[in-house]
Parts: sequence; structure tokens; C-alpha cells
Amino acid sequence: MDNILEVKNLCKVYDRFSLKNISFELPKGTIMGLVGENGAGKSTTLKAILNLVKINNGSVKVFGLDMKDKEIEIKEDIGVVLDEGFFSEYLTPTNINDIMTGIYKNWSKELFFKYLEDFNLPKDKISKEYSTGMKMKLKIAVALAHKPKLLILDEPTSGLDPIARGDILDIFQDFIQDEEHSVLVSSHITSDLENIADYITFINNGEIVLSKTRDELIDKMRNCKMY
Amino acid sequence: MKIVLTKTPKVQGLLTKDMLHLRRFKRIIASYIFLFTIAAILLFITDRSIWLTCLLPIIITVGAGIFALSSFSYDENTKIDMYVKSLPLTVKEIIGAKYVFVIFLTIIGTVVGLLLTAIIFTFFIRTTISSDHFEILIISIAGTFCVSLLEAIQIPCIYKFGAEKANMQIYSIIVVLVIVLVLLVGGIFYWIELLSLSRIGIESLLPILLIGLIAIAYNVSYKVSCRLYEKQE
Repeated sequence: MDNILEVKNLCKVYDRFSLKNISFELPKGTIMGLVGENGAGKSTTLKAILNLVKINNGSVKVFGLDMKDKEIEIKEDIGVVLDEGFFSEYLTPTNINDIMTGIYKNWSKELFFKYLEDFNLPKDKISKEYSTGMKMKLKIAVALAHKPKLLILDEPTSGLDPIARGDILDIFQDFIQDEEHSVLVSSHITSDLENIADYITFINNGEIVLSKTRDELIDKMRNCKMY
Repeated sequence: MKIVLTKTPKVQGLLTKDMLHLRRFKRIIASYIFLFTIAAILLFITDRSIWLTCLLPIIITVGAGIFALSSFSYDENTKIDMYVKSLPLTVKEIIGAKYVFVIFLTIIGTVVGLLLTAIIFTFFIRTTISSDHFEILIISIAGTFCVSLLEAIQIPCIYKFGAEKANMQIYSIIVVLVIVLVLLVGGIFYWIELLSLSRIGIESLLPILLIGLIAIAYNVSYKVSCRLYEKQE
């Protein structure tokens, strides 16, 4: 199986925290859940993958290309949802469409408005008037509208009610159906990932504790229970 | 910088973002321009004074500069910087878009200010400008260059210290800049006088010198901002 993302020995040192030799692979057509408690290093890992923070060591390959050499080319095919940081809440989705049309080569106005319709998001209402779930769906619609091959999402379900969470997780499952797309999603709500993630990578204190398929983990848990 | 900007339509996306931000303040901007224009007209009607009319270019340019630089605070408040970094944009495109936005607004401010002055002179004052008032007008236009220079200094400060702290830095910069400009302009005039160069039209080269100075300042400012942005995390 081809890997869409390969992370090798990623290290990032801060004064009071460091990521230590983070390595994992994300095959095409799969969803990986990055789990761990708050402050474990999930967001830093995602930022390091996206080159938003300078890494001290290691390498990141996306679509077989090195992130350091082909950053712009790679980012054209990645959809990103960050925990913090998005457009002003005084902008409407129509405004955001106008902005993104000038940024992504593959941005599709039709696809963006289709997602807005599918997610029941009014296109001419400022996002300040949206609920928390609607705001997250808007972020996801923006992340999807340039037809990315890989979605990287930081805590997309935090602060949402179970129904909104379910809706969002369904979107990710639809996204990988053609076996060509993948999702890397961080969450501290493990139950969210139980049903959709093919791989689970558990980070604690900046280190990977385990990275296994969901089935392997379930088997392991079952054996643990038997003993 | 020119090559980067013309070759990259992606800058348009970022410019659209800042223009949309500015649209939120359209009433405040309109009121600002309207109030000073009315004040200039009233001052002429009641007092036959035209100094405020002559100062309109600098007043409107300062306003435009403030609104242009407010886009940095807006970016800081929405924490959009990290998100922008996740998009397929180079550092030159991100920084270049900001400079285009600030320069564009400053030019628009100067043009609007000059137009308003011309309109008031044509329709209200209806007299030829005296040498005293011409001097005020020249100082006002020269002031718009100073605003550009201040912006060229302030933008890297914003990337270094953040929008809020940079506003504090700017006060010390203003003091230094005023001293430097007074010494520079005074020195130029002193040498023109001393060498009797005014007879051969050296004074007419001053606007070109100022434009050259602004161009160099923006070039250096842009490069410094790119460096500072690259270092940011």
C-alpha cells in the first residue's frame, strides 16, 4: 500500500517541551487518529508536518515529496483545519470564496458552495452568527473545496455536541471512500476515533507510545481483558 | 519585489482579505474624510482661512496609513497568521501582499487628499494660491512621504514585536525620524543656498530624491520583514 504521508524521526525542541523522534506512516485511503491528552504534542506534530514550526531534526514526505523542497506544491493538495486560526468571523462564506479563489490553483467555487449546501451553512451570513458546529463545518468545507488528497485536522470535534461530531466524522469517512485520499486527525476524544480511524497513533509527553491499526489495538485490548 | 508580485496572482487572495477587512470600516473612513473636508470648507467660509484645506493631503494620508496598518492588528486578533502559513503561499507572497496593501492605501489617501484640496479651491475658495499657502501645501505633500517612510519602518517592527507593541515603538521612531528629516532637509537647503544651486534648479530634484528615498526604504523594509517572518513560529 502506498503511503501518502511519511514522518521520520521528527524532533522539535522547546524550552519546556520537546517532540522526540516522531515517526509514522499514513497509507492512502486511510484515516489516522492522533490521540493523546492536552499538551501531549499532537498540535505541534501537525504543525511540524505542515512546516509551520521549524523542526530540529527529521523529515516529512507527503505524496512522496520532501516537505522542505516542495512545500508549496504539496500544500496545494492538502486541506488543513487548525485548532486556532481562521478567517475573521465578520466574513461570510462568499467572502471566503473570493479570498480562496486567489490562493488555491484548484479551488472550486461550485464544490465549495455544494459543501455549504450539504452542511446547511448559509453562504451570506457572517460566521460570527454560526454555531460552534457550523463554524467547524465551514472550516472543513474550506479545507475540502480545492479537492485535496490529504486532510490534516487539529481537534476538529472538540467542543462539539455528539450530533455535530457524528456529522463531521461522516464527512471524513466519505472523503477516503475512493482509496486515494487520507485523513490525519488529532483528537483527545478517543471515542470519536474508535469508529472511523484505521490507524491510531498515541502520543504522550512528546513521544509516540504506540502506532497501530485499530484492529490490532482492539485485539490487544481483548487479550488484556482476558488476562 | 515587483517581479514576485506581478507573477503571483495568489497575492490577490490576501489583498482581497485585507480589503474585506477594510470594508468593515467604510462608515468610519467616510466620516473621517467628510468631517475634515467640511471643517476645511467651514473654516474658509467663517474665517477665510485655508490652512486646513492645504493640510488635507497629509490628514487623509495619515488616516489611510492608520487603516492600512490596522490590518496587522486584525490578523493578530483572528490568529490568521498560522492558517495563512498552512496555505500554498511563499513568504514573499505573504509579506508582499501586505506591502502592496499598505502602499496602495497610502497612495489612494494622498490622491483623495489632493483631489479634495483641488475641489475646495475650485468650488469654494476660487482664488489663486498665495506663496504662504503654497508652502503649507508643499509641506503637506512632503508629509505624505514621511507617512510612507514611517510605514516602511513600522511594518518590520510589527513582524518583530507584534502589532500592539510595535505601536509603542513607533513613537520613539517618530522622534528619531523627525530629527533625521529636519537635519536632512535643513542640510540639503543649506548646501543648495551655500552653493547657489537653486539657480540651476536643484530644488526641483527634491521630489525625485524623496521618491528614491521611499523606494529604497520600502525595499529594505520588505527584505527585513521577510527575514523576520521566516524566523517567526
